[in-house]
Amino acid sequence: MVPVHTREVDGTQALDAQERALQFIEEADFAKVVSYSQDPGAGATANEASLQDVPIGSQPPPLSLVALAVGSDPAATITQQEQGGKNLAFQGEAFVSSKLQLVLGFR
Amino acid sequence: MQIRSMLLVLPIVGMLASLLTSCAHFGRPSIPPVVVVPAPDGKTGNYTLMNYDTDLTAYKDATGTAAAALRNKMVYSILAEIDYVFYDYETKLFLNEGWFHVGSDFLQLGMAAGGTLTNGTRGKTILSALLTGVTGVDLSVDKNFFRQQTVQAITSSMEANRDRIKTVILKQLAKDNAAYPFQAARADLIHYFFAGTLSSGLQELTQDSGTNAKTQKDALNKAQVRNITAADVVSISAINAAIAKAFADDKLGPVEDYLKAMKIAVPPNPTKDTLDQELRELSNQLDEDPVSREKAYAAAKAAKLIQ
Repeated sequence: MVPVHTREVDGTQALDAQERALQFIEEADFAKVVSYSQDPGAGATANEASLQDVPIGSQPPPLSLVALAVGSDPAATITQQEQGGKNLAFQGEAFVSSKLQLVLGFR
Repeated sequence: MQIRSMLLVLPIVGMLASLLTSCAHFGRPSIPPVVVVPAPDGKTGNYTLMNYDTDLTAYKDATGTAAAALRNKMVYSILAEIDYVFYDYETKLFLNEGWFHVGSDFLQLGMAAGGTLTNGTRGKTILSALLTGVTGVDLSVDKNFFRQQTVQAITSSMEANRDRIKTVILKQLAKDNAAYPFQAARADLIHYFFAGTLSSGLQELTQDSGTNAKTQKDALNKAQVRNITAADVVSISAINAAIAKAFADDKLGPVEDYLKAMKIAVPPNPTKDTLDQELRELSNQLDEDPVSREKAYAAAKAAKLIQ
């Protein structure tokens, strides 16, 4: 079983800052983000990333994040990203600039 | 013959059992006579409600320093009685820890205090009223909560409460009677008594737990990853790639040097698994602490992992 751990990310940050945070965490932790969502237990606007360890030397491509309004249909966005060669890695409701949004992670 | 042997052995077994039982029993210490001054009517304690009433009457008619002196006399007398009750009670708690798990009658002691200090029977000592004036009042207590606490933790909490309030009282006694009348002291004495009750000790512990939970939550908030720059991502990606290459090439020296520069203890001739584990441990610091990040970039350069 592959070890999984979590990291808290400041949800008051804009989407690009959170994208950099997740990219940094993946590289520093030798891991990949498998889920990302709000974490009310860690603060009013905290987000939690769950990470799965990867073997050293097998780091996946960097993440890119897309934010949509909560409740919207992500299908079109996913299709568009796939056409650009990126696949959906995770999606979840997370804080972006302190506002709850549907965040999709692609790589 | 066998029966005779048994008859000889049985008293010895009985004596041993008796000895063992007495060894396992801890008794309350004898109270020195100077502490337990025989009160009127053979009651325990030496400050009677009649004394108290007399002092209170004199206090009402007194002014200035005389009033302050009477106030102090009453306060110190009642403090001594309360202290005696508390330490006696504390001893009982330690000696009869088992009671904790089956009953909540300890709280009754606290319930008696209000009445004692206000309208107790004349001639009864304050102390004996505190000790025996228990009412039928009982509080429902979650026994599981009791089991989770040690007697020591609860009594420590009670003592901390008492010390805090006693300090306030003693400081106030330095003031004149107008600034700190006996009515105010009486209210503080009631707080002082209740601070030494089980309910107060438990309450304090619960508050401590709440404070600890808040502290931990604050720590969690601080541990959120933030303010990662594009340069940070470039640097950490370069380090990750360099470590991957070192692993692939079996050239682990620079990785070892990098970890040592980051104050990570590395055993001699470390294996890949050991280094892998230490590198993952180091990531905690890098994610959450900008100073550690800068240090890591410098260490990686010094170890010639990156340019």
